[in-house]
Amino acid sequence: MRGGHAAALVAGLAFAQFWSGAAPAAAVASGVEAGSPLELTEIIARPKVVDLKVSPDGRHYATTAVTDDGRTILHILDRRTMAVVHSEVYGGPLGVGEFGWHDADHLLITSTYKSELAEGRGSAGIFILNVKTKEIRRVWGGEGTSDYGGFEGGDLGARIDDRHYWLTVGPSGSTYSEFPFFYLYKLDIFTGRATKVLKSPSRAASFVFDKDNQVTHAIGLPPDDFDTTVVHRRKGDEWVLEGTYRNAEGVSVPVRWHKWDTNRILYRDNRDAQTFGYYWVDATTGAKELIYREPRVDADEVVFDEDDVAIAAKHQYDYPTYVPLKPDHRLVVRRQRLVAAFPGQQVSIESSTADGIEHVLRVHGDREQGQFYLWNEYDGKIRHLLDPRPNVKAADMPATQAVRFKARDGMELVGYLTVPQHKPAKNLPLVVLPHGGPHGVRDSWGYDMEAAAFANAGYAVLKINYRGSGGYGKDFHYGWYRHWGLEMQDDLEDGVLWAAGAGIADVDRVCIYGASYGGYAALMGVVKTPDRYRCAIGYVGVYDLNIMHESGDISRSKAGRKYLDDALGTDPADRAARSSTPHVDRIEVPVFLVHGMQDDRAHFRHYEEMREALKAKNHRFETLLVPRAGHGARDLASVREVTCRMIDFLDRHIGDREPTDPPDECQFPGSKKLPYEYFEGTS
Amino acid sequence: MRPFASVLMALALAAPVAVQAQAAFERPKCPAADTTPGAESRCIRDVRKQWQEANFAALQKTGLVFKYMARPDVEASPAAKAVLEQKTEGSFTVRFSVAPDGTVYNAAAVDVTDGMAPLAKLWADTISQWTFLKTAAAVTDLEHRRIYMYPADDDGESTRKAPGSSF
Repeated sequence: MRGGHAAALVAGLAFAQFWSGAAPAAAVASGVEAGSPLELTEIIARPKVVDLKVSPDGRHYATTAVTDDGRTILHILDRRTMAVVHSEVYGGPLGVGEFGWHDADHLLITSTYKSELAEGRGSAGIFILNVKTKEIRRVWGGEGTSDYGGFEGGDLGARIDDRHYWLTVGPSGSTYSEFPFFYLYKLDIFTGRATKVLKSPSRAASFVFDKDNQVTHAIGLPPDDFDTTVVHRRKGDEWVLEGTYRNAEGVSVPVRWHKWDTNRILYRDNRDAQTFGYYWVDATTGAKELIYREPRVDADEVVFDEDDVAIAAKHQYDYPTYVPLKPDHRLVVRRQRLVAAFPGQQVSIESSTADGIEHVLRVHGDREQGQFYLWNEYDGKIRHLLDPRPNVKAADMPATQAVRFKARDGMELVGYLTVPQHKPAKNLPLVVLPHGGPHGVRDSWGYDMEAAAFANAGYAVLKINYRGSGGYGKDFHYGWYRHWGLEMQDDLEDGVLWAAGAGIADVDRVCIYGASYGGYAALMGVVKTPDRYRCAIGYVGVYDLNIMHESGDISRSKAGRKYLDDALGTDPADRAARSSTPHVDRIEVPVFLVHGMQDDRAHFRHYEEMREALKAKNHRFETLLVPRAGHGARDLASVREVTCRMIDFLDRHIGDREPTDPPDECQFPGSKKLPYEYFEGTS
Repeated sequence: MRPFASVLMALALAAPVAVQAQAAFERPKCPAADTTPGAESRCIRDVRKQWQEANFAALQKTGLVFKYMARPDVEASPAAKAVLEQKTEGSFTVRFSVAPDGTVYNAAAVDVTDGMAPLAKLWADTISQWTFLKTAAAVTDLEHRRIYMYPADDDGESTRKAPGSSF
């Protein structure tokens, strides 16, 4: 088990606390800890603080918070008193999105569309707030940029000079059937004047700039393929194709130019290896110089010093790992001293004063969503600033450890095991929780509300990076297309056997639960190996690959249709063979289906047809519908009721309770009850 | 604290921020801008860093803990702003003491080189506003040293953060 969480005096870094009352957390012991489970409401509660940034002059903090009804609001705090001196709240569907200090007096704020169905892409407007006068002005809202004939979304990019930023403009809205071309604008944040500079040569493109802030490269997609990357180079006023890469075979994409050497450019490349590494590339000769590669997993990042010397790299094979490339470098030593103050946790610098002396730190881990601290390099002290979840102590949260085990064919897999705090990690009922996606997505070590809620209720929770997941190399990711329900499913069963063999799980009390692809895997689990699981929960799940092939948003775009052919296969009979709905006759255990009635990703038809099939079989099942949800509930009341119902279902089938009729205690006070159905059946 | 010391401190707190006489600036040696690209900028950055880390080390020896660290408001001091805009090179030291209640007293700029007086005064004023956590006894004769140097080919590189650098 990973270590403690209490900050301490380590190697000259003293810990001081000023504004918060209590120490952030107690140390973690390896055995059972005292205390009773937390209330579910406390676990799913939204953090009071999402982000916190110190102003360049150190006089103010800007911070965003989420209200109980899901709106994100922004507060400006006076550093000396920590009093709120100004707040920004938008009406209707708009919420505060990203924000950042332009200078000591001005804060740039983007607003995004938020609803119970989705969180909007891009910004619905960019505002500038003068913190001295409290005057706020909208500097961009799509006016003057009629490329898409309507209100458009835009992403504020890098700063060009004291009044200009890059702005990437594309269609607004959470979904669109085709990837758009993007337009690059130069935005004057004080006048709102946006000057169009160029159109991307490929779809959904991002741009690379040189040290003179000229666009040099664009990285995007072709119109008909998610799994191909297109790189263009800017030559004068023209775009020249640098490369078209099939992601499964390897990709080479520019990241940024060297700070000093105008002939060197940083590339991320996996053409010659399974995993992504970072290279310096000579722009004239094309010669590559490898900086770092981890053979088992993609490198997440290389850390450079002020002279662009690579001093460290980061990857996450299982735990987040920092690999010093220059162990004696002062910045590496500085970081190691800092992280030593927070054993077993992750530390990131969220913002810094312009003089580089004070830094807002976010400290997070498996039991901690993120505490905010201020580190002053002048006095060397770290002080606690804000606790986003003051009602929950990290020490009361279930802990998560990374695990490795061998699949039946000998392939090493990585998973994450979350166990209850108040029970010995021995012979526990187990929930296997495959992630969604499935391709290119992976689970990582860190805080997970769902796993925490189940473990808090007494269950071991095992998440597995089954084959097809992202990050572990090209073959691991792309090599298992069309293997849904086959080896990808076997990996989950092998995880169960590992957990049982290790004495952690009771092999006779295992339930499989997942959302989206995870819902597919849950129902396929009880179809493929009916004796392995005692129950299954599908949430916004895919239950019929032929429905997925023809319904829902993915199938509406050319690229999406190609992906579905590649990932699911082109033979309807084969897709049916790897679907659960056509095989409900094989299911022998209780099933719980939860679905958003507006779901356009795993179309509502998946739910309807699975339910009908179960009913036709007269099989025991339960359902819960979220009328105003898309691909997953977002509002707090629905999230609570969904999670509560799931825990109740687990309790009745693999928990300590008798399998009685479900009680009716999951409604959130003051909220409308979600439509719930209990079908007793005879099988 | 004894009554006599309290009286002295009260007088000190009331005293105006002082700036001592000026001297010529002796520029630390750095490679010329026309040698290796960026070499002068990097050298200047390293000199600034050395001065800054010396400040850090001196304060950390005292065990003082910042309550609030004010920064100079250059916009409020046109004379100091002019020194920065004209890229006048030089250095100065602000000597100050901290009372047991955490307030700063006797802040004075010393070793001020030619042309730096307005900036030195602004810094002495700023440091007077620093507050620390209460201490058992006053801490005297602390020094905050500052140096201002500019590379001949300055294009902002000397202060630019390394792109892509996180932590």
